[in-house]
Amino acid sequence: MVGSFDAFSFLSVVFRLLLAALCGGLIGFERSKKDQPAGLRTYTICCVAAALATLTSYYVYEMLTAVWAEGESLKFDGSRYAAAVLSGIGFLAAGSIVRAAHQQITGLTTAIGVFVDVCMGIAIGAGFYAAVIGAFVMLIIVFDMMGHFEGAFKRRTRNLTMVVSFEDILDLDTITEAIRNYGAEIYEFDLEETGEGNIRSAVIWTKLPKENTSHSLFLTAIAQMPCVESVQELIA
Amino acid sequence: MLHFLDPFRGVDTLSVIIKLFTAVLIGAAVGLERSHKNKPAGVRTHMLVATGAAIASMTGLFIQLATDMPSDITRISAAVISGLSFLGVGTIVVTKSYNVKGLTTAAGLWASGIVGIAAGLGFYEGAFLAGALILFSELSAGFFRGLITHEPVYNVEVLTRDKDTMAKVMRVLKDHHVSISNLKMIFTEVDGEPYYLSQVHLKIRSDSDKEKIYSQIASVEGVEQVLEIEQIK
Repeated sequence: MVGSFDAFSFLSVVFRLLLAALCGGLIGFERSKKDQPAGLRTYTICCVAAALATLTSYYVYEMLTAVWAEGESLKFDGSRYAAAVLSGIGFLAAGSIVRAAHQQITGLTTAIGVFVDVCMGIAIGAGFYAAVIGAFVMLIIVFDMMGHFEGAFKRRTRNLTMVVSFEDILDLDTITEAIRNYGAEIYEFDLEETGEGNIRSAVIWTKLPKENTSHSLFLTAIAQMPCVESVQELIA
Repeated sequence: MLHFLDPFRGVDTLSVIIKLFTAVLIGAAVGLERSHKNKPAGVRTHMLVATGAAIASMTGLFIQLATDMPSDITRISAAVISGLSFLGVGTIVVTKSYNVKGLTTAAGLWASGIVGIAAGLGFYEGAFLAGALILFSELSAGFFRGLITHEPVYNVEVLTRDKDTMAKVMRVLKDHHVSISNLKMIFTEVDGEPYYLSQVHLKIRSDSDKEKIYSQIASVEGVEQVLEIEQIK
């Protein structure tokens, strides 16, 4: 009656749901530390619910053969709940992607994090423990360590994104010429919609010269120009 | 499975009543914490979601067991999950400072639906356990919050005269392991004298270090003034 871990039994149901709460909770705890909108509760809820959905599919199959005695119904597809859960969490996650100022997109990591959390929950519900261990380790590495790595990398890179504000639209030519004289390369620039008054602003993607990769020196040089109101570096 | 519950997993009247009660109960449990924090979706909303989902999955089961029409038990309830996600997106709000609010509430509603589906099919073990785990996680979040130490981020303004000064300041900050982001620089002239006004976000370890860092910045040659504007986090 109680059964083993692998087969669908009361013990495995209890174990898998507890495991889902544990894994989701640990990842969520990790994200809570970084003040993310999706924290401990969101990750735990999503993981447990996804595991429950998969377990429900197993439950229905067992009931069809044992209790309700319909035989293996030809139309029953055990993966339908898991598929619906995934497409559903995709919508929810999309709601957390934000289009911020200066053409910055933020919240993508949160969205994908919740999505992967649900994927992990589905694997737990199915009893696919090998995949769960792998996924959990990967998530911890990505969320915990990659953040520092990526931040440090971005600060040292030669690519710099900034938003420059100025008064006259013709100043943009002066600014781009000054950037080129500095030795930097311009990938792209984008004039933004007018803000308050007659202050215009533009987002410029540049590549700093090899000889001088200091972000602050470059920004100081741009700020020094008389036509420039302000300059701000954008780090995604 | 707990086979003593088997008589109550069908679509006879008694089973239906028990299943609906289960759905309402667990929905209420999940919604209790949200209501306590005055979130837009309270106890009633979660109960409604769970009950609706239970009815949907019960109907799917009924069509399979009591009628001759060929069908898939899970199709109706799977559509419930997708539909709830649409609803969930509608409750997510992005504030003016580009913060996302309501994600946990949306996830809670979505989970209530899944628990309701399980209850409607008679999967009492899973529904109760999942509901208990969700409730436990919502209640224990307060406990865990005490364990989480946030590193505060301050918006600091530095006034300098030389164009090289800011680079020196950056080096000093790096030596003290202060995380720098969002550097904004404005060039102004006061009485014909050039001034660079820099605004930068600093992530400093603890309050005691904060004053030391500020005095370190101020002691760099060329720095006129260091001013903490606000604490962002």
